[in-house]
This record gives sequence, structure tokens and C-alpha cells, in this order.
Amino acid sequence: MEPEGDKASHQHPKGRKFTCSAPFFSTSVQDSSFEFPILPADLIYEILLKLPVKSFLKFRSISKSWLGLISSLEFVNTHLSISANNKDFTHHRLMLRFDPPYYGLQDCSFSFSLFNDSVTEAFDLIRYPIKTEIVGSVNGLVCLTIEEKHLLIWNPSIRKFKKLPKPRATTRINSFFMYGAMVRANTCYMYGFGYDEIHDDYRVVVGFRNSGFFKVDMYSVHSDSWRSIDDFPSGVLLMKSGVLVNGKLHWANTDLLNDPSYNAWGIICIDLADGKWGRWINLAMEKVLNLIRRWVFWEVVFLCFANIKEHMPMCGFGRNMGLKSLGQRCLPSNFPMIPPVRQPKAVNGENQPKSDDLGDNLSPE
Amino acid sequence: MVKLKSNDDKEFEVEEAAVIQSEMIKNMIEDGCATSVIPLPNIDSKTLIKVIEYLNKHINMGKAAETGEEDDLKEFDEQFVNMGWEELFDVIMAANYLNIHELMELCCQSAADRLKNKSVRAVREMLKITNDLTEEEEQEIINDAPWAFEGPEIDDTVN
Repeated sequence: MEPEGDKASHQHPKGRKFTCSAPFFSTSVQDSSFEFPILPADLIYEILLKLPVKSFLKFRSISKSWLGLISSLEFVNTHLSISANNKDFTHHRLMLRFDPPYYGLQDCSFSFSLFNDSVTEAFDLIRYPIKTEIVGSVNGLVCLTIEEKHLLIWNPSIRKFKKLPKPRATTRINSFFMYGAMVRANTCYMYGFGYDEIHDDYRVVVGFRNSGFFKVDMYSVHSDSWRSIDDFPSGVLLMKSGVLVNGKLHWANTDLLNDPSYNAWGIICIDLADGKWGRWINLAMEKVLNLIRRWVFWEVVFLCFANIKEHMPMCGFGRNMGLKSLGQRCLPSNFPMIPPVRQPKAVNGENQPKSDDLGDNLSPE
Repeated sequence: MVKLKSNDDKEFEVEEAAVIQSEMIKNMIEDGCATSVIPLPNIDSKTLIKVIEYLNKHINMGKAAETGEEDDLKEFDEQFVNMGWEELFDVIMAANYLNIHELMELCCQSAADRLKNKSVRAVREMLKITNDLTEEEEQEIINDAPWAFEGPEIDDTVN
């Protein structure tokens, strides 16, 4: 018989936090037919935390108490954090992206690719005949666009997609006149994906160009809806996907058209917690280049320190790796490491980026 | 030297440097509660011998890294967890009680490695768990991720 308290918690296994004090097994421990000591729930919990995702998805069907335990938010979060912080990168996966004719994504063992010249085993994740792009990746989640029309948040380790509703900023017009030429409406000129630690929410940012306006929308997974944030400040973005550092998405930016001096070089960012723009102008060129370098680096071997998966703590996407088949060289053996992006700091009215905001220690060298 | 007493009344002497890998005993010593024999009512002598063997081997862990004995220690750990389920569970419980973090990690990882490819049926039998899910509930879980229940690695044997 299950103890009463335990039973009650099974009614809503998803929304409830598991309490380790509840006995995990039936209480008939003294039953002589048991050949070995029954482990208390908190120790079973410790063991389950060391399993790969596939194993615990399977073990949800062992019993009600295992289902409740594995489905608890606490379990999921702890497993993510353990996998992400594993020093041997046991659970990290590297994601490889292919160019046409197929927009395929494969993944392989990150630790293996680190210590070997070539990847000998990679697995197909998806294969589309249409254009897919990576918007970003964090905590093992990957945000994708398909032909810039559909946005998806994808958890490769449990193989589930979430399709996002359409952003508000898209309009029904197909094209408009700008700079003396017809321009396709709803052209996506910027996007980004990140985690807002303050609200424990995942956000997607997309900017569309529509008849002279540069509209920006931010999506929240919690509310499953988009809201408009302030228009894109001004200038020209030097990159499309934002780089997530300390809870903010960053883009390198220049206003050279209006200000033909080096003062025009800068960085703009969106704070994912409040959707507010931040902007730094008159930056040392090196700072801007640092960000760009990091972005280019991510694009080439797109490295995110999201722990997915197995939670893919780091997943990377090789855009131009030329990896056409298994066994081909895919990463240099002196592959540089980027430290994981950490908790956002609360920032009050600062107008200059701190060096750690821009990841000065990061460079592909 | 620190004296430990198992629940079957056997006493063991362990060097203080070894035994303080147990947070629990370390705290007792710091609080001055370890002047005579420390009784361990949850641990039998067979398990305590295993734990002490581990503590003695790991006594100089910091030194091992310097002198390149890490491989040696790794080999010891591999051999150490090569034990039956019952014994492994006893050691996990003891490591948890004594609060020996490294030993706990080692044994839980070993348990997880043994379980990870097992079929659901095998795990239920190995751990003597009664399935209290209805057929529909079970099917629903399988339908949610059918691929997790398939694969050449799935092992239905009980051992």
C-alpha cells in the first residue's frame, strides 16, 4: 500500500514539487521477501538524476511514484543543472548544421569532438528541404525559424517542438517602397532567443521591417504570446542573431549613415526581463569587434551553453563546416572554449557596458 | 585515531585524516563529540569495512593528483563499485548517512549506469517495485515518447 501523503501528490504529478520525505517505495520494507534494503526516496532521486534523458523518460512508466518524481519541476531543473555543470561534458551535445540542398541538423558527442580530430558518429535530428535557421539556444532548448515564417522552440533531448504564434508586427501587405525600391514586407532583420532568469521565462525577440518601420516583438513562453517593444533604435545591424550575455541579447550596430565617424560604432541590447533597449555608442572598436567575433564564431561553430542534452549544455551548429558525411573533420582539436553565460546582473541605468557584459575574455583565438 | 562502532557491535579504528572525509564525523570531531567510540547504528560491519576501505584509499586524494596516481585511484573506484546490488545500496545508505560526498557520487553513478539501459519490466523486478499505474496511464506515457522504449540497447535481463 502506498502511504496516504504520497498518493495525494500523485494526483497532480506535473505541477507539484516532489518532497523527498515521502517514502518512495511501499512501506512494507520489513517484508522478508525483499532481498535487499529498499532505498529511501531521496537516494533513488540521487540515482535518477544521473540517468540520461532517454532513460528517465522510459522510467516514468515504472510506477506512480517514479512518474511523480521524474515529472517534478525540481527534478527537471536539478537534472539540467547537473548536466550543464558536468566537467567532462558527458551530457553535452554538439549540433551540426548543413547547407543546401538539405537543411539538416545532426548532433554528436561534444566531449568526443573536443578530444578527437574528427567526429565519427553523428545522428540526424531533422532534415528539411526548406530553409531552417538557428535563432539561438539556451538551457538545452533551440529556437529555429523555418523560412522565417514559422518559429519553433525545440527540445531535442525529449524530441518535442513548440510552435510559436505569429508575431504581432507582421502585416498583411506583401511589399512596400523604400529607398526607391520595392522591398518585401515582413522581412525579418533581427532575432534572438534567450532565458530571462528573473522571471524564469524563455523569450524570443524578432524584428520586422515594414514600410519604413522597424517593429520589434518579444515572445514569452510563460504567456505564450507576443508583445511589442520599442522600435529598433536606429542604425544598421552588423549581425542578425543576438548574442545572449547576462540576460540580455546583444547586436553590434553602426550608425555610419548618420554619423560618419568612429563614434557610430556601438552595441545595442535588449534586456529580456523588461524588454527595454540599451545602447552604447562611441565604443572602442575592439569591444564591438569582440561581440562580432563571438557572433561569427557562434555562427561557424555555433556554441551555446545551454545544457541540453542530453540536455545539450552546449550545443553548437556548424554552418560552414563542410561536414558532408560522418567521419569528416568537423572541429579543430584546439577548439576554443567559451565559458557559460551566467546569471544576469541587475543593472540600473548604466550607460556603459561592463567588460564582462561583452565577454572580453572570449575570442576564437 | 577515531573509533567507529557498527550496529553489530564491532569496533574499527580509522585515521582521523581518513575519517574526516565524512562530513558528519568531521563535524562531530570539531564539536568535541568524538572523544570515545562513535556508534553508527545504521551501518553493519560488512558495509563499514567497505566504507573504511574507500576512505583509506582516498585519504590522500589531493596528493594523488600531484603524484600522478589519479589513474590508480580511478582503477580502485572501478573495482570498488564492482559489487552486488544489495551491497551497493548498503554503501549508498552509509555514504548518505555519513555524508561522504565523493563516495555517494561514485555509487549513485554506478547504480544509474546499471539501470540506464534496463527495460521497465527489468527495473521493476530488480527493485521489487509494484506497478500501480493503470494500463491506460502506462500506455499514455509510452505514447508520449515511444522512441524512449525502443532501441538495441534496451536490456530486459535482471541482474
